[in-house]
Amino acid sequence: MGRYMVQRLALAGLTLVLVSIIVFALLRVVVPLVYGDAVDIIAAEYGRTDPELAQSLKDEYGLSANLPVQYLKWVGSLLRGDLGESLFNGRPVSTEMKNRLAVSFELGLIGLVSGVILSLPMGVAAAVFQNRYPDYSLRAFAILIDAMPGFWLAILIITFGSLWFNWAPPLNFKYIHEDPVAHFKIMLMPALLIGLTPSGALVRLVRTQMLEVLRQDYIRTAQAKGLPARTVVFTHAFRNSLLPVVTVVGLSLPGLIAGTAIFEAIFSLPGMGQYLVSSVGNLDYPVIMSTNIIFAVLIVLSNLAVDVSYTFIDPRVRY
Amino acid sequence: MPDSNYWNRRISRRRTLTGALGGSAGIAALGLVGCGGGDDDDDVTPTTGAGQTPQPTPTADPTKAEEVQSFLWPREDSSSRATKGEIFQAYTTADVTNLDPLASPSFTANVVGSWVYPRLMTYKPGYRVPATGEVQGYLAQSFEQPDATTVVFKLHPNAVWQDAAPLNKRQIDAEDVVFSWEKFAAKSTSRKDLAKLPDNPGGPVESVKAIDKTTVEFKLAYPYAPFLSAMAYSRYLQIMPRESEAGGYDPRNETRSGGPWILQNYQRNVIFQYRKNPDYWDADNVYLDGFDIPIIPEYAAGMAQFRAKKVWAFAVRAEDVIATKKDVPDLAVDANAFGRTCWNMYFGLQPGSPFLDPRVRAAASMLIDRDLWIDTFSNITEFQKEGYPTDVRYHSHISSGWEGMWLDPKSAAMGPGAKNFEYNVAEAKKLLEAAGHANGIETEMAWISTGQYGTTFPKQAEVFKGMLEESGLFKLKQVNPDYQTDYLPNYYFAKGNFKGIAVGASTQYPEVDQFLYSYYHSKGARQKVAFQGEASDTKLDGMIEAQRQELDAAKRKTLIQDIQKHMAETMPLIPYPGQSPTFSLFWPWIGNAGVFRSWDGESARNTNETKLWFDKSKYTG
Repeated sequence: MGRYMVQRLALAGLTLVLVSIIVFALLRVVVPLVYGDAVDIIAAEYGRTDPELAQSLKDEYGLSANLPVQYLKWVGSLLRGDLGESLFNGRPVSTEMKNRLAVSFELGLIGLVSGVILSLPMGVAAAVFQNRYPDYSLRAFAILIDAMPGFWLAILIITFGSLWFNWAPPLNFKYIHEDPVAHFKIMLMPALLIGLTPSGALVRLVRTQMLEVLRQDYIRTAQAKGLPARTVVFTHAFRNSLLPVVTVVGLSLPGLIAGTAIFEAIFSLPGMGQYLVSSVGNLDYPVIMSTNIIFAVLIVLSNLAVDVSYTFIDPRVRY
Repeated sequence: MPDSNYWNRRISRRRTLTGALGGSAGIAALGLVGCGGGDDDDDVTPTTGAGQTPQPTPTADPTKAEEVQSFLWPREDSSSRATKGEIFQAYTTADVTNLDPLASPSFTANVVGSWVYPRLMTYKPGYRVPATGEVQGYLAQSFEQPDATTVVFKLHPNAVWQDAAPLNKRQIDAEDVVFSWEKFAAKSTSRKDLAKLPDNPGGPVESVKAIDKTTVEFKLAYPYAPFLSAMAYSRYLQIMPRESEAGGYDPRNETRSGGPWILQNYQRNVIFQYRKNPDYWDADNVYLDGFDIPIIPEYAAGMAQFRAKKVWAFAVRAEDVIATKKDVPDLAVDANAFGRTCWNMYFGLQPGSPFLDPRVRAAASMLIDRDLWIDTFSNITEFQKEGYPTDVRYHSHISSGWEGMWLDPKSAAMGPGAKNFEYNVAEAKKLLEAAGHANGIETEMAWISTGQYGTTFPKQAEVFKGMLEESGLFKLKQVNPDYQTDYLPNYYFAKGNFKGIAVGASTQYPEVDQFLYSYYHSKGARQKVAFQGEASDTKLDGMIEAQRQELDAAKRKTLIQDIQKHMAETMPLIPYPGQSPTFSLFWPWIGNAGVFRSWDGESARNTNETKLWFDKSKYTG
């Protein structure tokens, strides 16, 4: 296990180096070639296209040095924990991220947990009642959830909430340390909606895995021994059907954290998604590059956590 | 029967367009339309109606018209019973790039700055009728003009900066004005509109100097008619403390107020919270305790908050006004003024471009069915059917909202160029043939398809394309550039250096000179008429320069109308077809709503927002 961990961490490091090179190359080489440079955008906003302004802006933002030097400087700063500063407002990226990452992580985590809580029993029930009415309804529900974009559902809830119940989500965001009750009220609805999005797929995955396990010989043996159905399903079948589910759930966490921009916009939340989207619009290099690296770290760590969790779920798995 | 065929065709086209857009409107009401970003002139507070009430249309059902008149907001001045306190619940659709109005690359910083940083002058609000653009002192207690090129301002002696380090209620003095001017001239995106610089020799302001602690002198390069108005404009000279540059605080992320409001809390992407500045020299006459302005980019989310009374006023789309009022009868409705923004279709002017020929530009203009376009996008037929008062104006090359300056393209006063505003496919065909394009023109047409100019904008551009192509005289390849990385540098600021046609927004200025110079003068910062700044129409340049130096108001008006006549003939770009005033919806507990009416929405924090109050007797939230 220890050796495996060392290998995986080394591989994770290599992955992050590659990601950093790709992100840097895309933003500092490809994007300027295809669209233009951030300084061109800023200069254009000033209504000027003269090279002197572009050069002075490049000097100001540290974009004058050759690209390998810029890359090494950036990586060096990252290693020192300095994520850089926004080109447009000078705010340190790490300061912005500190609170935003917490909000996005909380949204993603609550969403994931609620999604799992919703979909696991539904998937198990669908499998146990295979080809009967509960199965049909649960599968239909899963497909419906799968087909409905979460943001659309969010807008429907808000629109009809205001039409029918004179209700609208709270506007004034409070951090958990400022006002836990207000915070919970604000976060609950978007988090549940975020969790609902992958639920449909999860219900169908759990159902498929359960059906596969329920057909195994050892399940038949357990049933033949006269064990109660509940014990067979939850003790013998459910745990063994979890391996692929854990993989999917674990790997979807970074996606949930990174993909909350539209929910943040609808519910006025200060998360990572809006930060990244507005930075992409401005080609705010330091923000885009650093947030991408943070997301890459999250994905790599999630992968690692998922792999390690296998050993706890399935005793046969040994590293 | 030709008339019958004509109208059948017209009705058919109208149905086609309205149907297409009606679908979108319905979807918008259900919230399926994506992000509704702000346009170039998005404001951080919703309008509460700023204009004259259009005359009821004679075709409206008299009963319905009476009913509408009965619920139109009376604009009652309730100052005598105003009470102090309460936080106004407003909203905005977009965040700001940063908070430094004199150095930000985006105008959004000026919007925030207008709440906290004073200007020397301010626009005089209209009292129950539209403002006229007249100015009065703000930070300047008085001003005098000893000669045509010198203006001296005397600052308000009680004006102090907010009680926060490092200013701690320091007096706002002449050195702050000089500092702000120097920063504006060096870093502002609008510097070329005002500052005379080595790279902008035509700028009107030559120098600024402090005479004493409260006296500051502006020296102009030439007599400049709109100078005082420029000093009131929030996108120009907001007065900042000199400590903002010396490390006292970071103006990109913090503010220090010298005006009626303090930015107490700003959470990026979430909310602006302004509170009354107790040290403002006229704080006794500020009713509200502050404004909460959450950022709500989604139209449907904003509408839901509005219906749930968590937002007190909301910019309801024209197509949703009637239905919303019917759904929520308690809402107040007020008619807006004609807007002073005029967006446009402009041309690529690279060597060899067909649009270098004025006949081609005129032909393109003749292919735009202005009446149909205005009806479709302003929902006029529906408003008329429901008895709402409507009024329609074509834009000339300035917005039809420039009362007193605007020349009606449909009037005889427009002269020979008026024909270029008429929908006339046959004449357009003749012009193109004469210009050597008998087989039509195949080129590109570009517009942004994202929400920066609002969600209706891409539809408007699509309709323009459809109208040009419907004649068979244009075959246009649709291009949708990215706003920041492609549209702004390669179209909007490209000075004609692109291929084909582009559709885009324009900035709203408080003085028509600023619009004329910026968009039509060959040296203008946003000009779209002279390839790479090489003047092709020196007559137009001369006319624009002449009006800005004419201090006699009547003569200047004639000059500005002559410019419109000239451009009607040369059609350097095609202005948007026109407008019909829209309606504002808001909850009736906003005391004095619509009474003190702003000239420039971004500049009214000290004249209009200070007069609003919370009328608890009407509150039902």
